[in-house]
Formats: sequence, C-alpha cells, structure tokens
Amino acid sequence: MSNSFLDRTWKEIEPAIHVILGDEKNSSLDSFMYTQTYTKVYDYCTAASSRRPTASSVGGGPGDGSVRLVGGELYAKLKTYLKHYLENLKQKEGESFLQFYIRTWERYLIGSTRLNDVLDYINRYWVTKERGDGHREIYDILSLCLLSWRDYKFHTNLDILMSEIMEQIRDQRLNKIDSIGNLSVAIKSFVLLGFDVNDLKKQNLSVYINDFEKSFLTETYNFYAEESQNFIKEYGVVNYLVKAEQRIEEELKRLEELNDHTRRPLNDCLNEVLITNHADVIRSELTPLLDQERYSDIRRMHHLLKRVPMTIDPLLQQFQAYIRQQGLNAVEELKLQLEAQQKEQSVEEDGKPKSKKGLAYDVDAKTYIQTLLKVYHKFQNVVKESFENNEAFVKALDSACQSFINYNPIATPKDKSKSKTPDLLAKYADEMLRKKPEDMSVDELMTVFKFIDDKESFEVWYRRFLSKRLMGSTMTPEDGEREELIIGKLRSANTQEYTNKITNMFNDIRVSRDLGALYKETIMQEPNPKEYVSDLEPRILDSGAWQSIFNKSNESILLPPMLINTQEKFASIYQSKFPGRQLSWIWNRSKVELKANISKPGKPPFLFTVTLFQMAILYPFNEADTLSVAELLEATAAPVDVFKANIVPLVKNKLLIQNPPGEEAITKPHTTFTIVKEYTSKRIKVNFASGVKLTDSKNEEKDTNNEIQMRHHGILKASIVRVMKARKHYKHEQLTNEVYKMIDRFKPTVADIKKAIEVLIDEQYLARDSEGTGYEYLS
Amino acid sequence: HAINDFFVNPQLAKNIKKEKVTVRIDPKVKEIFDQYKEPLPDPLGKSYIGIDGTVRYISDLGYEPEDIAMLALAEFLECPSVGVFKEDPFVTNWSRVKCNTIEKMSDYVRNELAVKLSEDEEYFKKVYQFTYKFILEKNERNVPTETAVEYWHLMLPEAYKAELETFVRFLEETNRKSITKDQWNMLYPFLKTYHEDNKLSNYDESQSWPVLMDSFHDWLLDS
Repeated sequence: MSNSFLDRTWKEIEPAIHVILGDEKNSSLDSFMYTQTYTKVYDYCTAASSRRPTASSVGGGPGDGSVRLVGGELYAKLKTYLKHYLENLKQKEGESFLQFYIRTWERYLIGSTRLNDVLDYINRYWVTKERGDGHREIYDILSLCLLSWRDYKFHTNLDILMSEIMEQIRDQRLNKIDSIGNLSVAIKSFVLLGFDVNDLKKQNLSVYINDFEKSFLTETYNFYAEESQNFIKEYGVVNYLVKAEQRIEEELKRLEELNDHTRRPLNDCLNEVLITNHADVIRSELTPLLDQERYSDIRRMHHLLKRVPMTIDPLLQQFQAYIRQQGLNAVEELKLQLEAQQKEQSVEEDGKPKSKKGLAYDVDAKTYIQTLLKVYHKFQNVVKESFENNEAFVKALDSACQSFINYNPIATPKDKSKSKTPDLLAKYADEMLRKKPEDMSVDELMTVFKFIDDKESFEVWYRRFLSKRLMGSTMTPEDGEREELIIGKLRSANTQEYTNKITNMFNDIRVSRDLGALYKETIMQEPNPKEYVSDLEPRILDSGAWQSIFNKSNESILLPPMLINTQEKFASIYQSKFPGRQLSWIWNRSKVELKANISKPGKPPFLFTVTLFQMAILYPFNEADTLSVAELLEATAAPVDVFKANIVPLVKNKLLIQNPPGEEAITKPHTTFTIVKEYTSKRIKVNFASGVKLTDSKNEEKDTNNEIQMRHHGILKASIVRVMKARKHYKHEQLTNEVYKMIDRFKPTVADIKKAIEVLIDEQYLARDSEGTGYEYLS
Repeated sequence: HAINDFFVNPQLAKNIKKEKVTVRIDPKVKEIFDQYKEPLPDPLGKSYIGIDGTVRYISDLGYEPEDIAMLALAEFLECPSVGVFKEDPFVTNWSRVKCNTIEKMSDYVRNELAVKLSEDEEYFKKVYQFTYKFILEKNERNVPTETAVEYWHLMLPEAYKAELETFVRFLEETNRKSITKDQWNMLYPFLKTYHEDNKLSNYDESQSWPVLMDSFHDWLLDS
C-alpha cells in the first residue's frame, strides 16, 4: 500500500477529527462531515485490504494464514495525533488547572465517544482481529482516546491535579465552597481511565484507587486528625460527639460524588481518625456524664462508639464497674445511716455510748432491698435511655447488680462471709406478706430474687418465716392467694423441686385443718364430750420442711391434767388415720385461750391467750393463791429458763405478784407468786403469750445458717460423689470445675468444695491419688 | 510368668504373691516373742506384747522409744497401735527376713530399716502415713494436735524444721485441736512445697491442698 494513499486519507479526515474532539472555536460537527469521514476510512480500509500487505503494517506477521485486515496505519496516525492534540490543549487565562481539566475532559469525552462511532469500521475489523490475535496493546478507538488522555493529560499533570482537587475538598470541609458538582466530573474521569487490558468492557478502578482514592484517604485522615484533636481540646468531648457525628454524615454524603468502592475505606478511615483514636478520651467522659445524669449525651457517645464495635467492650466494663460502685455506695450510705441511728438509740437508752467493737445494727429488710432496687431501676432506665436496651448493656447491668446485690458492706461485712442478702430478701417477703404495705411488691421481690446467688439460703429463710406466718393462724383466704402467687413465681423462676417443701407446708396446714374437723366430729360422739377440749386447732407438721419449728422442740412440761384426755384422743385418731407415722408433740409452740373469772364483780370474764407453759403455771393457782418457785417447778416440771421466759409476762402484766420482786429473784426457789384477786385491764382479751421470748429466737440466725450450711454441704457432697462415680479418677481442678458447673442454686467457695472433699476422704468415699493432685472413687 | 502377670494385672499379681509366699515360722523367733509377751492374751485369745514388753524389747534392741527407726519397726511388724506387737505379724515378719536373735533383729533395724528410711523416699512416705494410724487412740477419729506435733518433730526431715515450726505456731495460734488423716498425709508434701517457695508466693488455693493449708497460707499473709 502506498503511503500516499494513507497520507491523503489522513489529511482528509484529520480536520474532522479535530473538530470532533473539539477545536479552539468549539466548532460543531455536522452530519456531512461525520458521514464523509466514515466513508473515507471505509474506502481506505477496504481498498487497502485488497492489496498485498506491506512490512509497515502494524501487527500480524507473515504467514499467519489469515486474511490481512487494514487499519493499523490509520490507528497509528490517530494515536500520534491524540498525543499531539492533548499536549496542545490550552489552559485559558484565569482558569485553574482543575477547571481546565474538567472543561476539556467533558468535551473530550463527548468527542471520544463520537470518534469511536466515526471510526467504527476500524474498531469492527482491524481492532477486533488484532485483539483476537492476542495483541492486547491494541484498543478500540474510545479506549485509545481515554488511554491517551490518561497518559498525556492525566499522569503528566497528576500532582497539580490532585493538589487542586484536595484543595477543593478541603475548602468544602472548611465550608468555603458549597457545591461539589464540578469536582465529581474530575473524579468520575478517574474511573473511566482504568483499564483491564484483557477485557476493555470491564470496569477497572486501578487509576481511581491508586491515583485518587489513596491520597484522598490520606488527606481525609490528616485533616480530621488535626481537626478532631483541636476540637476536643477546645470544646471538650461532649461537643465533639456532635461534631464527629456531623462530620461522618457529611463525608458519607460525599460518597455520592465518589465511586462506591471508597465507601468501606472511607468508613474505616473516619472510624479510626474520629473514633478509635479518641476512644479513651471519649470513654473517660462516661463517668462524669453518668454522675451528672446526662443521658442524652451518653446516648450520643454510644451512638458514635457503636460504629467501632471494639470500642464498646471497654465502655461496657466501665459501665458495669460504675453501676457496681453506685450499688456499693448506696449500701455503704445506708449502713452508716443505720449505725448512726443505732448509736443514737443506745445513747438514749443508757445515757452513754456503747464501746462495743463494731457497732451492731439492725438492718431493715425493706429499706435494704429497696436501696438495692433503686440502683437497679436507675440504671435500667439508663440502659433504655442511653443504650437502646442493647443486649450487651442489659447484661452488664445484670452482672453489676448481681455483684453488689450479693456482695456489699451490709450483706458481706467480711470478705469471705456468707451473703446476708438472701436472708434479708426472705425477710422482705415476710414483711410484705404480713403487713401488706403498698410500697412493697412481688415484682420487687422477684427482681432481686433473680440476682441472688444463694437460692438455697433464701429458701431456708423463706420457710422459716413462712412457718411463723402459718402458725400465726391469722391467714385469710386472700393472704393464702398472695402466698400461692409468690410460690408460683418462685417455682417458675427456679424449679418445681425448689418450692416442694414450701408447698408441703401449706399441705400440712390443710391436712391439719381436716384432722381438726375429724377430731371435733369424734368427740361429739363420745358419751361425755366435755372431757375434751372442743376447739382444738392441731398442727401436724412434717419435720423436714418445718425444721425451724422442731429446733428446741424437746422443751417439755407436765401437761395440765385437763388436757390429757384431749391429747390421748387426738393421738389415737391420728394413729388410726396414719398408722406407722411417728407423732411428736412440740409443747413450746402451743397456745391456749383461757376464760378467767377474776374480773371485778359484775364484769364479764377475761379471755387470756397464754402459752401452754403459762397455762401449766397458772393451773395450780386454781387451788392456791400463793405458790413458790419450787412448788411451781415441781408442778410443771418445766426447765428453769423456760419457766422464767413464760412467767415474766404474767408478772409484767400484773396477773401474778412476785415476792421478792426483781429479775434475779424470779427463779430463786423461795420466791413466791400470788395471783391477783381482781384483774384489771381495759380490754377483755389479754395476750400473755406474745410476751414470751422463745429461747430459740435468740439463736434463730445461727440455727438457720447452720441449716443452710448443712444443705450446701449436702448438695456439694452429693455432686462430688456423682462426678467421681462417673469418672473414677479425676484431677482436683477438673472436679471442682465440674462441681461449679453442676451447682446453680448457690455459689460454693473453694473452701466449701474442699471441705466437702475432705469429709468424703474421711468417710472413705474418696482417696487421694498417688500424686496427691487428684482423687479416686472408692466403691 | 509372674512378671507378665504383674504387667497385665498388677493387682492380681500382688494377690498371687501374697498367697504363694508362705513363710516357715522359725521357733526361735517365737521364743523371743514369748520372752516379752503379756502373761494373758487379749480378749480374742491372741498373744501380744504390751507396753512393758515393748519398753524392754526396744531397750534390748539398743534403741530409745523416741527413735524414728522404731516407727519403721512398728510398720514392719504391723503394730496396730503404740506399745502393742501382735504375735502373728511379729513371728512371720522376723522369720521371713531370717532374724531369730535379738542381735540379728537389732542389726536388721540398723542396717535395713533405718537406712531405707533415710534413703528411700517412697518408703519414708509409707512409714509416715502408717504412723497416723499407729498413733491414733482407740475410738478416736483424729489425732490430737499435740501428739501429731510430737511425731512430726520426730519424723520429718531436719531440712524442713523451720517450716514445721512456723506451721506448728499457726496451729497453736488458731487453736486447732486435732489433725485429720488427710491433713497428716498432706503435710509432708506441703512442707516440701513450702520449703521450696518460702513465702508461698506461688501457692494457689484452687489446687488440691487441704483447707487447713489454705488457712495457713492466709495466716502467713496476715502475719
């Protein structure tokens, strides 16, 4: 092919190409020029391809056995031309480089697309063939245009271009420029300038990422590193929370102008520079904000930190520690208050302060439990207000509460002492059920119950108080319903088995009532019903559940003769109904209502409520007006301390006159008691029984704690044996771990477990292995 | 063949060994026993050497009762309690090791038992653990602390003397009345640990030491 044909053709189409790409005058392209150019190229290619190929042709070697397609020469000319064209584009006066870039790019992109159409013949044949033969350095015309732009316009001016773009962005960030419109044209050009040489249709972000995104992110990072640091220094964390949130919003809006690829890295960059880098400083504000109850500021803090999950963990810990400390403070405050009250009282009582070490104080269960709850509820609200009831924060709240509810200055004054909270909670339940005040509720009870580690302890104390309520015999049907409600809740919060004993206690009372009715029926059929007490209210209690009642149950007495028939009758009825069961009598819990004919003449007789022991003491006074201690002890066969406890209320309430008077004389053998001739009292009913201090009430706490300890010990031993039976040989640590996991009703201490193990060794259920670090099960 | 049995089933092999080894009783040993035995047998009709005989016998062997070797002897002759030698184990065990004169017995204690006690750690442990049962009073569950301390002083290695003193001070200060078998058994390994780590800084309550050692550790930290 002769060069003249090529040169001629090129000369003919060059002006049109210039116009298409855009000349200085920005001449418009008419359709004539368009068709003419297309035709010229077509003519050249078809004419040339019918001739013999020349050595100057681009691509394809001789002997490739395929039809020679022509177009390479034009392609080469165009390539050279594009370089020349781009290098000679002129920046207008007063125009920044960025403006120049955007203006020319917008025109060039239109021109390139058109040119691609005009030179479509080359694309379709020569380019397709060349690329099909593996010549990846040959591109379609549009790509060639873009590549030329990249090489001669973009890369060569990259520094100034980028610096001007970044300046623009900086200005925007500093609120100097409102719109970002033009900038996005430049940024979008970078996307089009990336190529995948193997697949030109495929988007390739290499230019966008390497030449733009990287420096954009660096700039962004640097800008915000400086800004955030200064801002916090100047305006403080709380204002910064607003600022950072606002900045993030702005930057995310900017993403509309950028390629979506930048979303992740920009997010990461902002999170790091705005949040992670300041996380410590931000979190350090949590405590003061909580102190000041600024919950919406905390919500903002959480909202911001939440963007970086790993910054939340320390926040959770801080929050948890704060709640725990608040709980401990609240209890400490209550303790000081109680101690101060106690001091005041003891001063009032004997006029001088007591010098007892460690002032003893009584803890009011209601105040104590409500002090705990107040802290819980306060922070439950914070979790809602500030942390959107997020699960992790609910958990932190629960953990904190569990800690201070079980372990605090009142519950555990000493490090290793057993927590008193379960005891006080049971007391709270008792007070609620007995006094029914409006400011105590089952919900409160159950909320604290949920946090109690030692559920066993609560159960034992609960039964102890329940036994008193049931024995008090003042329970109305409504009371019964309230009791049932709580038992139901305890059961569903724990297990059926957990409330078994409690339920059995109610059954005992029910069965007792039936037995009482049966007794009444039976004596009515007796020939002489008057030999028996008609209004007998028996209580038949199972010793397992009613353990507290059975403590000290051996306090005995000679029954007043008039009651012996009744006792024997009832015993025989019971034995015939439940043969094989053993019936023991607990005299110190019995109460009697007496009709006393010692009123002033013309007045109705008194009704005295007395203990059985008091009745036994009073009974001999039917025969004599004055009796000595020795005589009374002989008549009643009561132990001296029991005698004393029972006679004191009779003397105090002036039914008996003691001679000589005084506390010390009360048990001296020669001291005498004389019954008054006429008793005076404003009320007809007088209760002497309530003044009797049961000897066991002094040791109540000790007894109950012993019972609890035995239960713990029993459960531990059973669990250890169960594990060892299965394992035969087990190392100490594995054994303790497994036992910890098994027991959920209380938290055994290391010492508890070890003690149980040592007892089992002593009882020869277990033996230490030869290394001494594990145990063997001995069957 | 017996060796094979041992590896397959050590328990079985032990039993076989016990059954097979029948010792020919040496009448001379029996004669020696008779020189020291109580005039009247025990309620079960068995002859035994009582406290008087024990004192004489030990003295004839050339020992003081307060010698650690005497504990090894007690273990060797399977004494049920202090001051009692039962006829069967006395005669059988001396016959087995072929000691039929006081001199031979004395030599055996000196050259075998006493030497083994100071050289064989496992043997020492065996005698140490035996001692608890040996000194336990009839019908008592535990050994009084006072007695235990006496025997610790007698038995435990001189190297642990300082540690033992501290431990005993702890027992006195915290008013511990008695020592259980487990506490007794574990004291020896405990003193060893304590000796190696003199502030017990690596002591870990969650390990298998008896609670008594935990309390000692706490006490040590407090004081």
